[in-house]
Parts: sequence; C-alpha cells; structure tokens
Amino acid sequence: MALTYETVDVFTDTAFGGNPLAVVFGAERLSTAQMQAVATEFNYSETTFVLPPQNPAHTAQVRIFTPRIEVPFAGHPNVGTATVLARRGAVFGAPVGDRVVFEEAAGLVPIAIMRDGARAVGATLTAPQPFQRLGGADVTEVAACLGLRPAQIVEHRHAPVVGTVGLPFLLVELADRAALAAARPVTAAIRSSPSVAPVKDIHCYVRSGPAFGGDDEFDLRTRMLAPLDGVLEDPATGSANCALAGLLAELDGPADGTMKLRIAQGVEMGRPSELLAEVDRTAGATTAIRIGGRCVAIRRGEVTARLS
Amino acid sequence: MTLSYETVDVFTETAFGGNPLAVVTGGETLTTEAMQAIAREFNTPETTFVMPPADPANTARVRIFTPAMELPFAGHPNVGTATMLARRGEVFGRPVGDAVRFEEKIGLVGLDILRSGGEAVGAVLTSPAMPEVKERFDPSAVAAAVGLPDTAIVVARHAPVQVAIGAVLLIAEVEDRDVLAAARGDAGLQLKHLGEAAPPLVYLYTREDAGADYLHIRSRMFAPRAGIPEDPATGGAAVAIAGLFATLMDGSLDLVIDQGIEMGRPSRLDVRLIREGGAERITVAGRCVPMMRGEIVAV
Repeated sequence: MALTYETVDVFTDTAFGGNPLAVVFGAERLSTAQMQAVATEFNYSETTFVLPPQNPAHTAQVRIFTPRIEVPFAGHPNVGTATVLARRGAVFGAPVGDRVVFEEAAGLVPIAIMRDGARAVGATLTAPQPFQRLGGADVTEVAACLGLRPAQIVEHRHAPVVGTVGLPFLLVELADRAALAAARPVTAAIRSSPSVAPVKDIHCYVRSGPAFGGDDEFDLRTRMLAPLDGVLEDPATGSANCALAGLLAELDGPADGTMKLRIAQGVEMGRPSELLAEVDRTAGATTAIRIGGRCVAIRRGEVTARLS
Repeated sequence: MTLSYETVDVFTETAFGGNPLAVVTGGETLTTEAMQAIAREFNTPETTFVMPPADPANTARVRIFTPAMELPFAGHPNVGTATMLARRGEVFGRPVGDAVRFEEKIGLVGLDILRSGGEAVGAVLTSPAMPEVKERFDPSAVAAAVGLPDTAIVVARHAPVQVAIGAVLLIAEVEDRDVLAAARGDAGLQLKHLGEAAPPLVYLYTREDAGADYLHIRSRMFAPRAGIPEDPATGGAAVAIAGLFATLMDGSLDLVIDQGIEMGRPSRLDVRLIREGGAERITVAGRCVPMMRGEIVAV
C-alpha cells in the first residue's frame, strides 16, 4: 500500500502561518519505529498516522509522533487531521460528517468539524481529560528560564503553575506584551531548575483583550517554549491553550455558562496562529474544555523511500 | 505550472540517515520571499529551487535556502540536487549526463554524477574555492564551549582553528569517540566561552584510522547559535577540514568522514584533497536516497 500524506498549517487561514502538520495514510503495516522515523524525517512538531478504527463506530485510530517520541494526545494534530479527513469527505469507506471520533493512546477524542458553507475549514476538539493543577514552580527560577526579571511575571492571580488536560505545561502570566516579546527559552536554566526541569515546557501568556478588559483584538497572547523537547518555540499548541483556558475559567470564568477566549500564538516567531478556546461551566465547576481553529492545505505527496 | 518537489537524504545509502534536502521544481515565478516561506515550511536543513539556466551551456540555476535565509553555496544541497536531476534523466528538455554545472550565487558549481549500474546514486562536488585557515582559539575555552573538560581538545597536530569556506567554522580535534559523544551544542556555552565574534559553527572530530595518504575521522557539527543544534552531514565542513589538513601535510589525501552518528542520522562523506602539477583542489562525494515526492498546493 502506498504511503501518502498531506501537510496542513493548523490554527491559521493563511499559508505558512500556524503550526505545520503532516498527516500520513496507508501506514497500516508500519512498525512503531518506522512511524517514528517518518515523523523524524518530516521534522514537524507533530506527524499523525491515520489507521482503521478498532471499533467501526469511530472514525479512525490516530497515532501522533513528534520528531522524537509518540505522544498520547495533542491539540493541533487532532484539529489538522480531522480537517484533512473532512475535506476528503470519506475515510476507510465511511463518509466523514460534522463530527469525528478518533481512537488515541489517551482515549477517545471527539472533534466537531467547522464548515464555511459546505467546505470544511477547521475543527474543534474536546480535551480528553479534565483540567488539573499539578503543582507550582519558583518565580525566580521561572524568570531565569525565560530570560526575564522576576518582576515581569505576574503572581497575584496565580503563581507559575503546572496545568494539564493530558500533557503538562508550566503556565506563566507575564506583565505585558513587551515581556512576552522579550521572553526566550534559556536551555541551561531550564535544565538546572529543580522546579521547572520536571515539566520542561513553558506556556507564557498575557491577558491582552476584551475578555479581561484589554483593548487587543485577542483575549490572550501566548508563547510556548519547549527547548528540552527539541522545540525552541511552538507556533500553536492546542493542549497548552486548553490547560490555560481551564486555569483561567477557574480564576475568572462564570459559575454557569461558557467562557470563550480568542488566543493569538506564534506571532513573535513569525508564524501567527489563532486558537479559539471554550470552557463550559456548571455550578462553579468546569464540565468541558474545547479548542478549535482553521487549517490551510500546503502540500501532498507520497513517501517513496523503501522502508526496511 | 505545478510546484512539485522531491526530498532526498544526502550523504547516506540508508533511508532516514544522512542530511535531508527538499528540491523544488517549477518555481520560476516565485519571489524570493515565497521561496523563503516554502523553505521554512519544509523545515529541512536546506531546500533548493531548480530553475532554467541563464546560459544554456549550464544545467540549471539553483538557489539554496535554509529555513532562515538564502545561502550563496552549500555542500549537501548541491550533491542532493545533482543526484535527483540525474535520476530524472532530463531537465529543461535536455538530458542530464555524467557532469552537471549549476549557476549559483557563489558562481558556477560543477559536479560529477556517481552511477551504479546506470542508476545515479550520488554526486561528487568540486569545491569552488580553497578554504582559508585563520586564527587559533584557546583549547580550554573551546572545550568548555562544547561542555567538555578543560583538557579534552587534542593539540598535537593543530590548535582549534577557524577555517573559512564561504561560512566560517571552528575546527577542533578530540581524543576519542567517547569524548566526541560527550560533547554538546549549547548556544549559551558557546557565547560564554568563545564570545560573539567566534564562528557559530563548531566542528569536532576524532581520528579513527590513518595511513600515509589516507585518514578516517568521525565528526560532529554543532551550530545552535544558527538554529541548528547539530547537523548530520556538512559538506562545507568537509571541504574546510581537508583544507586544514592541506596546511599540515604534503601530497594528496583521501579523507573519509563519518558524521551524524550520535544524533541518529549516520552520514558518510568521501573527501579528496588532490594535488597535481602545483595545483590543488578538494572534492566531496556522497550518495543519496530518495525519500518523498509531491506537490505544493498552497501557492
């Protein structure tokens, strides 16, 4: 069976923005090591492999690889893979409608297709696990990891905290957009920080727009820095922004209703991305977190290498 | 016109080894900015664009981009592009024979095609210039810059030294494979111990085997300050180190380089320093494996 692929830029409607993703088809007979090699060769933050579902009620089994490891769940690969399948219209002989369900290592991932008329333009996924706080980190250490002064980190709403909906991120509020632009990953400091080294990946943000009384077009501006995972900076990170939305809903969300956040990421690195987060709240508790965005088709082709 | 591409792994005979390269054809009408955006999207160490030559005596015009910038010249993009065109058998309506000549920013670049049973399997690049050996560096500072102990750099044959061949590299010898394996590319360490002015490309090697006119080395190239934590196969560095050895010996040299092993992308570069009739030149040969092909639908 031919190994074919499409690549898309996820969380953008402009080519060469957003977060690139490769979606590979025909990989049923590949070993895990071969999938890893193909993902390493693509050298994108993630590559997905679309395989037949175990349960025919589901759309597909989806495996997600970074250039280094397989991950149980991630945001942008799901949004991109769902959009690619919806644009194709059918997969494994079944039509792709307005809702897909992927079987993944982390569990079942339901995803809603976003359409512009009949055309699939993007997707929205529901986080597979509830938001959880896993502990904090020392402000002085965090500042050193970001090349900032401790005063540029805002602590009065929350100290730097590890949050997760499946993958943990250190969530750090910064004082202003100048601090966000000035932040840079200091690899040696991250490696040697007792409180940051265990989480490694830092998602820093500024409350900039209408949801927080600011005048920016985006409610939040974020940057995700993960040099110890081989990603100096990620242009659009679904799972990090899910975790951030989960945290902000606890702090500022309504007791009942849906908190909606329009989030910009990747601007500073030249790959502007737009993510739409929604958090459903009932009686002061979070019942669901969703993240969505658009995708642009970039290229398609086949893997011609002989895989041994 | 369709924008199509092939990707190859260069300086290897094994898929997923060597140094990846994307070769784009049909890009005649692209702006420089669009080429840069495509190169960044591919995110391979380099992407080339093959266009019709200005002079029909040449094979093609070739432009080379990293994800960050355009380069006047580089080794593995030339070897990969030449091999890929030779496999196709023709380009711009003319057959591709056993020698190709590319028009590049640095000037004309000539390559000979390596064949195995008629099939093009690689190419031999003749360096357009001889490298220039420049200033020396303090061995203990270089050791600290790559995370090694003070005495890790071998200075019996040459001190750590800067060599220019288009790009400028800092080349240093280490004692054995274990020391080479322990080295790491860290931009902060390089800046701290070598300073802003030092070359961002640091090339370490150890000797595996040597004869009168033969040398086998294993190497690693770190360029974290240029956004490349480690490069799996560096044609320009192969030319530079052959140029360095040229200052230390008489006669010709066959130099075999294994690179990229520690990072999991084993690469082999076959280098020759050729001295005949008072003239000298350096060639770098490598094989290539086809990996992917497709078309760009976004432009």
